[in-house]
Amino acid sequence: MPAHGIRRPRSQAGLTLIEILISMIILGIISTMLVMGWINLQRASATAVRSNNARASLRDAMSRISVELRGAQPTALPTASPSPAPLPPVSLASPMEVQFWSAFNSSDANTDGSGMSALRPTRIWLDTSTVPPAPWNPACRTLYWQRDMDGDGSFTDAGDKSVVLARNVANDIIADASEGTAYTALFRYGYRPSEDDPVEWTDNSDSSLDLETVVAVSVRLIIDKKMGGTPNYADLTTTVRLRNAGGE
Amino acid sequence: MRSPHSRPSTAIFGVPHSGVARGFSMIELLVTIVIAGIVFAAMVPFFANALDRTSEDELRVDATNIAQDRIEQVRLLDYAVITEPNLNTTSSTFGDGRFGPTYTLVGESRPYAITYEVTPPSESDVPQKLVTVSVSRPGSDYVTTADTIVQNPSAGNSSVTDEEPTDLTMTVYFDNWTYVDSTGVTIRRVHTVDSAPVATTTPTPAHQWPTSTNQEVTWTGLTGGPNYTYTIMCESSKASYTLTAPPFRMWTSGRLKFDTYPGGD
Repeated sequence: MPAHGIRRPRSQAGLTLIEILISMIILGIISTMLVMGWINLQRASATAVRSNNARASLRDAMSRISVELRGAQPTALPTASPSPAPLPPVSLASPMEVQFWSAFNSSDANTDGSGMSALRPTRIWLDTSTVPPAPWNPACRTLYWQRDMDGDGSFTDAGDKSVVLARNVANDIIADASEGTAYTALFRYGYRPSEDDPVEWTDNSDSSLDLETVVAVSVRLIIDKKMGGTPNYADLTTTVRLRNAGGE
Repeated sequence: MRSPHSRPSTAIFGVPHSGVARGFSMIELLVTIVIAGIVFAAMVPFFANALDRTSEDELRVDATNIAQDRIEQVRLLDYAVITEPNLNTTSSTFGDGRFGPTYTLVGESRPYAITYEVTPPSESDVPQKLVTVSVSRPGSDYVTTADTIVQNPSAGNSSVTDEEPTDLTMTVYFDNWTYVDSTGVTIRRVHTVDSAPVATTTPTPAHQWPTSTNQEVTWTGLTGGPNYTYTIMCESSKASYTLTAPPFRMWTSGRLKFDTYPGGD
């Protein structure tokens, strides 16, 4: 029957029903295998992307921590009058929190030529008590950077600044066998007991460290790249020498 | 099976068909499916390889991070203890236990192997040391290296100490001694301690007077060198002004003359 100028042959011999059924079954099996393979590839690709994003966030956080800690300053110039005595760059040291004096990224850092007027108490701390909201992994915690803008000792006033540095941080749920602790310290502190002593390290969990002697901070940040289920950790570490610490 | 002669000619878009048109045979269909399956199966390793590459990149990033961290740790050590045997030690006491041949990341079962190379390996009295840290993953051919040059903090400092000359003598004589005021001749010493000058008058007695029998004044037991600066002064009764020997440092004993009446007798 001619249609659109196409003339059909008088006789057309196609496949038999058996042939079509067998072909469909084989095609179905192969298609299923291909689709499953494709889905697995998609999952693997998504995992790789998520892992890369998590690692990128981890590196960004570590970079920010390094830069700020390296530039931490005492509260007075070395030539200033000894009264009041300058405070050391690090003002609080614990396994999951470090507080220090910083003028990093401050727009008025050089108003008096020294940057002293812009120094503010700054802290990087892991909020170990707050369970993060979905979709973040509830077993992990959030790492914050905060600055006390008015210098009143509180980091949560209206004018204070707060930034999430990293999520899914797992330091407080991973034991450190080498140190014998139930957690893996986020911060460890290198200090010289006296000027000529070699550098020793502590996480200062007992708060016995003389902060004047701190010359370096070792940061180890562990995050779970997954939102739940079997964890898949990324583990990054760096050591920061405090540029303005005494004796360095 | 279809014979070559039975292949239909197309009648599509105005091209006429032959009398008989047949579809693909079962064998043709199966062969096609098998070939397509092989082609698709051949593509799978490419995807798998891409994923492996991603995983390898992560290992390299981790290895690089470990190497850089160890470099920072090395730079916190005292210069003298940066030696190849020390850095490669398995002791948990050296460097507060932060060195060693392996490091295991959280969640990993296989540790990274770390080796240190120091050039020169064991000498401490050299101007600088080249430290190379190599990090590798067992089972992988890839090795990450990072290096740094550590300068000897005492390089360039002289090992010779400037000994302070002691027991020096300074003598002052006059033209004319009779015009030396009754306040006598004073020697003043400034001792610089830790960059801070401390004025002292030494030795005792600081004041001396010339006499007819001894028309010179002499101080003995003086200490010289870079840390002591002396000034000698006396009043002239004739000229009514103070004679001053400028601040000077002593390396040997010496003599100097005060003209108590310049231009006069």
